[in-house]
Amino acid sequence: MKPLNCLIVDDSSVMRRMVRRTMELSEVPLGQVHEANNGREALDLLATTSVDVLFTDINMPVMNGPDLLRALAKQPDAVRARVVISTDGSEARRAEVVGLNVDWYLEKPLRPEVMRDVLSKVAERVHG
Amino acid sequence: MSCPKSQNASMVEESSQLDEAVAYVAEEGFFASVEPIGQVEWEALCTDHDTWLESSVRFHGPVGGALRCRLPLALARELVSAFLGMETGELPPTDPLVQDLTGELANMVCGRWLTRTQGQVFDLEHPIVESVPDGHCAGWSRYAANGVPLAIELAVEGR
Repeated sequence: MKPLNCLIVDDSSVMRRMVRRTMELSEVPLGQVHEANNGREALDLLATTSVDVLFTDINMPVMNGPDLLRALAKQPDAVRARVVISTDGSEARRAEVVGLNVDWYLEKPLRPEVMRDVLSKVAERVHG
Repeated sequence: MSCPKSQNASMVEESSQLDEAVAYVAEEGFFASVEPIGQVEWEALCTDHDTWLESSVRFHGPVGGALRCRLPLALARELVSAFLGMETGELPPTDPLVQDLTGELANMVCGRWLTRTQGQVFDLEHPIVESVPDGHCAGWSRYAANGVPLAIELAVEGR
């Protein structure tokens, strides 16, 4: 099975580490795991790098998660799966990203078993 | 207009919701056991700690306010180690991850509380973390997290 290339976008270094750790615990084969501090950095990285799955926070400086997803909505082939990971799990917040090609909306703190389910489904999609 | 009895009921409910948010984040994020404690137990637990951190996060939306967490450095190191699957001794006390984790703790508790009680869109500011001289926190909700003191203050503006 081809390993998944991933991008974690969060302004908190400890949250990026935590997301990376839950990914490593999933036992789904991982390729390159990239990190970005905000949406702008993520877009710059995606301009030159192939990524299968994007994990993004909502509240970030410079460019927030919804603005990143809005920019990526114009590039449907840029990333195979888009996942929001946020402390804000309200229906109102979830509604903000409807129509932006978000595949999963997860709440922090993130359970390893939830990450395993998501990555397994992304792997199925990528390997079709 | 609310009568004092309904105000009391509302405060009790709010306190219970905060307890739930703290327990959820501690258990799900840090594999830590948390229980509310009283003043006497708090003071006894505080005697073992002389280095403290405080994180605060402000929120804006239909209502505004702030949530603050105060905890010993030792607990912050223990939580970040559990969070990242490390041994506590591996992490230097001055590691930036300790400060970052302390901020994320406030962020996650605040987000959980807002999600469960308000159900509307809020903006959370970036957490601020600073060293504080002691665990003095009159009027805050107090907990024992893995037997170590943790205090939380939730302030909602206009109340």
